Amino acid sequence: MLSANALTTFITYQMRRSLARKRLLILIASIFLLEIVIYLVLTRLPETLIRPLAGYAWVVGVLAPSTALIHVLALMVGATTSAEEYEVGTADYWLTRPITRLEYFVGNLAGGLTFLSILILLYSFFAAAISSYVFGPQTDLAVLPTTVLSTIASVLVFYSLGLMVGELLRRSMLATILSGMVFFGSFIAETYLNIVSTINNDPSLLDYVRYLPTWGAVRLASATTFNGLGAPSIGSVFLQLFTTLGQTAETAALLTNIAAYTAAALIVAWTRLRNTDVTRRAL
Amino acid sequence: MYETVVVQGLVKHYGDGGRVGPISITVRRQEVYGLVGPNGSGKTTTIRAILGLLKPSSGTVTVMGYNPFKDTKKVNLLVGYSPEIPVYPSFYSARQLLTLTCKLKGLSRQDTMREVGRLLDLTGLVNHADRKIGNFSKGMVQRLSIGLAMVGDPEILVLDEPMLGVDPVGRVQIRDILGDLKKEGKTIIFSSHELYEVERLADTVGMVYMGRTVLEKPVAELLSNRDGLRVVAELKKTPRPETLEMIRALKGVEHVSAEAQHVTVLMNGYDARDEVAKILANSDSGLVGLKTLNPTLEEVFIKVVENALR
Repeated sequence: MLSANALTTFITYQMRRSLARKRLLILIASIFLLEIVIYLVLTRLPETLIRPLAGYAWVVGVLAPSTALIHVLALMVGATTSAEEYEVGTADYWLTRPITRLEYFVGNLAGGLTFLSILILLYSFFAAAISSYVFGPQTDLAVLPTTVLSTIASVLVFYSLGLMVGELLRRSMLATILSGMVFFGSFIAETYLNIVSTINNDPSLLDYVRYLPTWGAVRLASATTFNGLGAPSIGSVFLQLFTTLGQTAETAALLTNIAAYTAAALIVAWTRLRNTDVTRRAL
Repeated sequence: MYETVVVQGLVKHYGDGGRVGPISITVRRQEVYGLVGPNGSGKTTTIRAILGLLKPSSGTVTVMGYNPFKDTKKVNLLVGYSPEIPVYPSFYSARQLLTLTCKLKGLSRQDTMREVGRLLDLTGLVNHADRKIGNFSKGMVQRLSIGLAMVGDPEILVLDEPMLGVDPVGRVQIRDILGDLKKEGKTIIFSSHELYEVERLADTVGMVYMGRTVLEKPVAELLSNRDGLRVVAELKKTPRPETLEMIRALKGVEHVSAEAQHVTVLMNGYDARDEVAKILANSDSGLVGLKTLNPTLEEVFIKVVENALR
């Protein structure tokens, strides 16, 4: 059984640790900077274009980071969550306290995810607040909690992949690079297949896209948001503007993709931690 | 005194082709056990196996009857550990980390406050309690490490090279802490390649060399061993070479050296002190006194290693 005591300890520890890392802080700052830049650009657009969409300005700010930035951040948090513990040597400290390896694993996992969730919550409310301030009252804000929740669910894929690679290699930089390669590789493959499919008018290629890890991760937040919005025509405009899709997908299929990648990555990571030695700090 | 830690035929194969073992040690309750050996001999491997951080390739390790790799939580409730190179989250203060460790040990809030105060006092970190660990000196981190190992008054303390890289003042402080713990009757396992420290603190010594146990004996028994007996004679005058030759010819005498009015005789396997005394007393050098020096642990270790290599 998992001890609540151990879990809360790890959650607070991982939060503090994440905030102490400069690389992560730079990425977090860039997310907020992205929000500001987006709204600055929107205010420069012709009023005739922006006026019908002004009530949905919040959607742009909330969804923009989930296209790529939040996943890059998630994989970085995942890759460093466990790997850095071995590299620095703090894994020895934790694993010689009265906790089980499962508590250590789940605690670290929950800690990193809590950090990401709080960040998603913060920038989403930041986007909603700026858009209300700049463009006036916002429409369909009731969808925001769904968007936030689906964004949190979507980061699970690359967070878990990062964690898995980090646990396997136990080297944070290498794990970040490798899981980053998976993300960008999948992203490029998806875009390429989309383009080829459109040019050749061959929709069968899109079936392969569904198996890529970015498919669920990048789409889920936008899909659930646009499903919840009252105006599909406006939704599709945003969809084409701010995602690389060109197609919508069923939420269940997206969730299945996310769940499959997340579960597989976590099983591998847990198996490695459970059955192998605790790597000594590199001297 | 019952056995608390039993390592039997521990062998560990590492991925890079390295191999440690077979190592066997037995640590009894309230015993201070010094694990000695040169760097890379298998001390840390043994300690990590005791803590469940490492899965033995073969052999068994039990701590109070538990398998440390499987029953990690139970073992870590019984054991307090200070690593060879202690590393702690640099953003915590000593007080925060001690409090957190107490929490993980399941201490109540009131007990935690008392325990944190006691350990800060014991480790001499009271004045640095709220400083970030990242700003600590090596000696301070080492003392904090021992403090963390002692949280919740564990049954067994495992200290991997507690004096490593610590300045002389820090060493004295750590030695005092360990001395106090010994008086309290704690079971302590500590590794070191500084035999002087082991000689001072340990009840039993386990020697590992080239990945295997070469000796395990009580320190007192080792040091009183008549093999390697050393005698220093003080004379009135510098001895003649013939006198030294007569001593050299005695049974059991391994080495004779003279420096001014002092003659040092090293014996092995036979106690020739009476014969040495007679020769010197009858010589014209004039015997003032004869002092027997017990071998140091270092000498014993070198001898054991030499035997192991033969």
